Amino acid sequence: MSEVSPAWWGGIEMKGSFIVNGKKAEWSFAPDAVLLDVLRNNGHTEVHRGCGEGECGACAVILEGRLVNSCQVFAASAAGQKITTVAGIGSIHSPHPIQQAFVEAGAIQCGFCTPAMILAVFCLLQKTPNPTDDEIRKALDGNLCRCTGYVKIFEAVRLAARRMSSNE
Amino acid sequence: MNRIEWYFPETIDEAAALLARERTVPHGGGTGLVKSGLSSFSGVVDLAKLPLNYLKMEKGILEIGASQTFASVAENLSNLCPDCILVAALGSAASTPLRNRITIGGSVSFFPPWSDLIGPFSVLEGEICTEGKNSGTYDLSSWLANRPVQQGTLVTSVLLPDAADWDSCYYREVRVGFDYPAFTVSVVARKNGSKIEKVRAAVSGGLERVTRLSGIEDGLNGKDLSQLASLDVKKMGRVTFGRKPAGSAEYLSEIAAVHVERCLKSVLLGGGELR
Repeated sequence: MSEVSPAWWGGIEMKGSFIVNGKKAEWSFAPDAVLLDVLRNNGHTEVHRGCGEGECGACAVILEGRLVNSCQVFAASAAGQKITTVAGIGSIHSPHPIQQAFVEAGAIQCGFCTPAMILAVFCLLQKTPNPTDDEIRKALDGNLCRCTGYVKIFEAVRLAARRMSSNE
Repeated sequence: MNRIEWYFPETIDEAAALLARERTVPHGGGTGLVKSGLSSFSGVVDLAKLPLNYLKMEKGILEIGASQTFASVAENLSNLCPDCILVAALGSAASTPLRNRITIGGSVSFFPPWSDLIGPFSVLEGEICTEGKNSGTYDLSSWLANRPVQQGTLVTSVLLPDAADWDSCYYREVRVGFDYPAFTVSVVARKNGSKIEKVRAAVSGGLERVTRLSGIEDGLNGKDLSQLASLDVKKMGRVTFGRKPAGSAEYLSEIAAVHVERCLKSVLLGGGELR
């Protein structure tokens, strides 16, 4: 996986391949770089930096099927693995039902927490298609929102779950 | 500039040999090293390719590979042994994305003051299996008392020889759902009718990393349930704390004793307390 070569600033960098949203990418990074920085430095600015400490959840991505805080994952340990960002589940022209539900329910204000929140909901609904409020609460327990008070986020989750269950 | 090499061994022997090097540290995928940084290390041994991601229960003995995450343990045990105290403890630790990364091996290596693993591990009398420089099997007391034994050593699994068929209660003192607990209370018990066959109780987060409440255990083991009323549980359940953001030492000591009493009543007299 890794090739070690001198970087322009005199440090040592390594290279690794990542599978991001289904596409393979080869990137260079410092050995102590976290996945958040590597993703953002390589164009994936849909992954947001919030606290940098694994507490706000704004940086969450799906790594090998599991929601993780990308600020708490070394890039080196994620090399060779499948990473999904919000751009990998839908787009502005073809939104995922969860994204559509968030828009319709008014669950987005500043939008900063939204990409990671949507990925958390994506993971929840894959495992639990008809979650209870407690299950929603637990699944989103690592995603903080300072704007909405979560009420409309819960409504969006219920709406998305209904639609995805009935294939609306 | 400190040069850091990453290694990706595929066998335990290979990993153990790498860890014997100076300033080389294992990384199972958890958050401990991310928080502390890599500046004092020259080598990182990534454990992802090792055969340590397993959980099995045979003849009542639970063995958990060091690479199992908190989320995986909680999910696997909820099918295998749903009443196991570890389901409640590890299933409520930290947050969903963090539970997907925190590993058993990493947690055992760090056992931070806010650990949700140490209390249940103590009452289930778990053991830590290692390979490398100090290979062997360690009980919790000897592991905590002898930090140097961890250097150059790879935690491969934990063994919980008597993990099933307990009534249990787990409590974590937090201000909000996603919070580091100021302390945790772990109680497990087996009853036979009105007789208490065995009870074990522990409080973590105090000045001692974890405290077994041996006075309460001795006062109740083998006794009738009615004995609970005659024990001064609030006095016997007191643990010494340092001051924390959650409160003063005296406050935490008082509150912990209250929750020890509540957990004992929940387990021995019915009902449940889970938080």
